[in-house]
Amino acid sequence: MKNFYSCVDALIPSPLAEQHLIIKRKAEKEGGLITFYASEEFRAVKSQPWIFIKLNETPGLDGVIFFTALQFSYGSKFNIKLFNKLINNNYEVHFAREDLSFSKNKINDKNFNFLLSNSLIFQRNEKELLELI
Amino acid sequence: MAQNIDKRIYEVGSQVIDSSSFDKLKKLRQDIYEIITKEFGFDEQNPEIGFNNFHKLVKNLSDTDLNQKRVNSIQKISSDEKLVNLIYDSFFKDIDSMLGKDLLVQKTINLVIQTPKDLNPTIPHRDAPPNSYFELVIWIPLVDCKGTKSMYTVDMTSAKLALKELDKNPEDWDKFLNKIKDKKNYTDIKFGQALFFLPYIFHGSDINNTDETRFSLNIRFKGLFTPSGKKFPLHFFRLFKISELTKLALEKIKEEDSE
Repeated sequence: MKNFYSCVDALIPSPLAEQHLIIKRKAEKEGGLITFYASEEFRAVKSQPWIFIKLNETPGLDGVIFFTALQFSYGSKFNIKLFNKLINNNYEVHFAREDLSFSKNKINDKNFNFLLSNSLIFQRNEKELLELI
Repeated sequence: MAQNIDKRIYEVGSQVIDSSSFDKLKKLRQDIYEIITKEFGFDEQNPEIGFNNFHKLVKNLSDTDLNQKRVNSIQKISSDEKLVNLIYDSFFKDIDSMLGKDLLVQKTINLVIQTPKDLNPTIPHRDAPPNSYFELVIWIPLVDCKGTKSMYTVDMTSAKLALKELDKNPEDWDKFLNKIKDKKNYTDIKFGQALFFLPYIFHGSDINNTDETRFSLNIRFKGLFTPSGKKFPLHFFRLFKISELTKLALEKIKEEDSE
């Protein structure tokens, strides 16, 4: 049985209980359970500075389950550095709402390209875009 | 005569398109037919006869059983990526010509089974908003359809007038329905074709007053970098394919943002 850290989304108006339920289902699907959970500090959601530290401090973890992949795009661009750091330290990275999973030996390029492409339009100002036409 | 996308879709909002590969479309229908016959337990070999006469073949099932089997079939079909590939392959020329090479596809295929006299047709609605205005909706009948066995669309000009009426009286749904009542265009379409339509035109279905069942699929494609509407692409779509240029650009971003 794997052990996962759960990281809920502090920005969306979904109740915590709902997020926990969806994250729990994802943990079960990946053959594990949630051992610890935390919510990101509102001021730090863009930079996500604490999650790697937290995982490192917690022994016996196989990975982390985020409520949504959007948590990696709240900064100005997709947080590739954190993603790589997690993967390179042998942590599995899962996104519950999108049902996407990544691990060192199992990087699905197509899914990762989708996350990256989506982050490019996620915070784009659509009005400015339409003014170009 | 072969029908491909032309200016009609941009003028009225919809157009019947011939399949780019009839063999792939036949394979799609056969695969879905096998799921249906297995789930409902009938052994008619010909999919056209089986689908059209579905209501007769399952008439001994209780409503509860029928509904459960219908839900089971829809679940099996909706998440099967091989079936999505067959849909794309069946109409790839026109999909690519409208949307380009960087493509998202809806995560699930919707299967609709409309038996004769079914009292739950689809009320007139638009997909966008809340969906993106940049989506392309593809409706694929698995049997020949016309009249009330088919779906209808309302041209953009008539829909615009009806919407103005609804804006003035948002609670008067009947008045809105009356405005579009005579403007419904029931698609006359054969198996081997699909109806391509824009997400902001009104469409729906009426009670199927024919003596045949309609089986149809619908699915949405969208350009990867187009605006997303109210629905997050990550939750409703998956990446279907990307161009070589986009692939290289994403690799470059990965390389530079990792440093």
